[in-house]
Amino acid sequence: MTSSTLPNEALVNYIFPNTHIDWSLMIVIYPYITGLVAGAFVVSALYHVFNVKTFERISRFALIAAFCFGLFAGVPLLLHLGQPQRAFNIFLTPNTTSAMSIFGYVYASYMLLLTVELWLTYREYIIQRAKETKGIPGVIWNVLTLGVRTYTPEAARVDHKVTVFLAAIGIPWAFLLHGYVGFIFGSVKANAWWATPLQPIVFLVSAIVSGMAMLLLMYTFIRWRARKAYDLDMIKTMTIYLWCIFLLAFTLETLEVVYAAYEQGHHWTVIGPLLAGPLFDSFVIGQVLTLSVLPILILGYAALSNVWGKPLLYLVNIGAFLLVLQVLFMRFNVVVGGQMLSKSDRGFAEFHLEVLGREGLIMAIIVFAAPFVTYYIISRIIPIFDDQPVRG
Amino acid sequence: MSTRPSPRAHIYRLIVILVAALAVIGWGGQALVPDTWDSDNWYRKAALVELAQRPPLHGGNMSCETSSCHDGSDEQHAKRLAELPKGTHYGLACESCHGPLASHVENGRKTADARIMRTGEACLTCHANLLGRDGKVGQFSSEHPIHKAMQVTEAKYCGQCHNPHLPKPRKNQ
Repeated sequence: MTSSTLPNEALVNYIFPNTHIDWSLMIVIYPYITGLVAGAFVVSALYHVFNVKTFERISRFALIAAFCFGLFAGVPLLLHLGQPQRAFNIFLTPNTTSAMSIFGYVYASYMLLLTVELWLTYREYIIQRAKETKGIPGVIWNVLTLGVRTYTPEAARVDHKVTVFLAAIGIPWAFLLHGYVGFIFGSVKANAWWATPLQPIVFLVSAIVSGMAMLLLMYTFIRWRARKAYDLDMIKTMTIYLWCIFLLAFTLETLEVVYAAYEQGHHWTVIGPLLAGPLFDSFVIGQVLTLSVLPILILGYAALSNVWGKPLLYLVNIGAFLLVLQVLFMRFNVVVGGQMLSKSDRGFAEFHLEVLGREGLIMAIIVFAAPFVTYYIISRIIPIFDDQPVRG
Repeated sequence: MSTRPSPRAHIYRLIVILVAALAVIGWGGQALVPDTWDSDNWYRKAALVELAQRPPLHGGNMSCETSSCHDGSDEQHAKRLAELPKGTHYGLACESCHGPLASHVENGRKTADARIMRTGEACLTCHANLLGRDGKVGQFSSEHPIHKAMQVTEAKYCGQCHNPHLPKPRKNQ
């Protein structure tokens, strides 16, 4: 306990023995990774559906990145729950009355949509590889063509139409996917730090922020490693989008706290001491002052001034890095902060960071690194950027 | 296959594959649902029959009291059985501390000694000082004057001073 003040004028930190922080790091990175999926997808959809031309050159990259994050979005849940032998039963024996199992269906169908869209995007390349590859890889490429080994302009037009259609469905689907995560928390009416109808929207908008910021970081890093030119037009446009969407996210995140503070009602008797006490460092200093105010200033300058070239790159990457951290902190503060509130409303449970073990810090780092490793492997197999051929 | 397939051929094939996969998942899911599943009450009816068929582990106090093994010839045992109803542990099952009957007797024959613990472990399952216990059961405290004087901690065996079969006489006798 960093603070001596306790909620509701409690004299001792009274918590019932059933107050545990069961949802630890894994449940922090689970909505975080899911959010990166939704955020990255939105960037590719901005081009496909809303014709934002500057994003055309990275729409494939955004799709692949979303796919890589998506592959590992369920892993933290699996590590938290255990029982891998029963993990797929929620699809085989559906339960339609549980919000948590509904997520399974939304997530699975969303991954299917992503896979099909990727397949359509790369069909021409798949057919080309199927014709020129021998052996087992050749068999795999051939299976991926589904036996259609010619690529005609008519087929290309069909593919484009279907891709736009899928991207159009994909946007509400991505919103549903991430809005659900907020819904899970927002619908817990007994928890003052969670219970708000704003929660799904907060989660969704911050997800888009984290996805865009992560794409910017990945893009700069990949281009820097490959010693290729940076697409500054795209970076500038993305920065403007990112800045505006983050302003919205920050507004929504702050609104809830400001409402509670201004109303001075029962919620504030718990939330006030929580933010002044155990969450002071990670919420007030971390999430709000360092990781929100700074990037608003930095990205605001990058978006609104005429800065160009190297300075723009530095500003955007510093801003994007801070935002990626901001969303991670926000996930932590929501997930862990809400569980700190005792069920007696008279104190706070303590959070102990586990390092080793199935749900520890090391495991969280491994799970979070996995999408990037996967991206690297995929980038070795299929061309993601036009000017970076696979076997160049 | 013609040289120029329909421009939508691959889409049709994908749809066929997806529908087939969904059918397999739906069919496979049905195979996973047990025949006697009661979806209203969310349990498998056949489980009740299976549970009833499992060999019982515990016999209850009557098995110890009325058994021919301990019919007065075992003085220790008779003494314990006489003490128990007078004290505050009258409601406890013998097997709570001495282990299940199934690991002591099988088919009316003794197979192993009943468990006798010379540590405080069994006592602490009820008497450990835990937050949220309502205090109806005395909680061990090393701060108790006598405990303090004799430096008793949770590691000590309570039975050195306390009789587990007659800890305190019942008030309502």
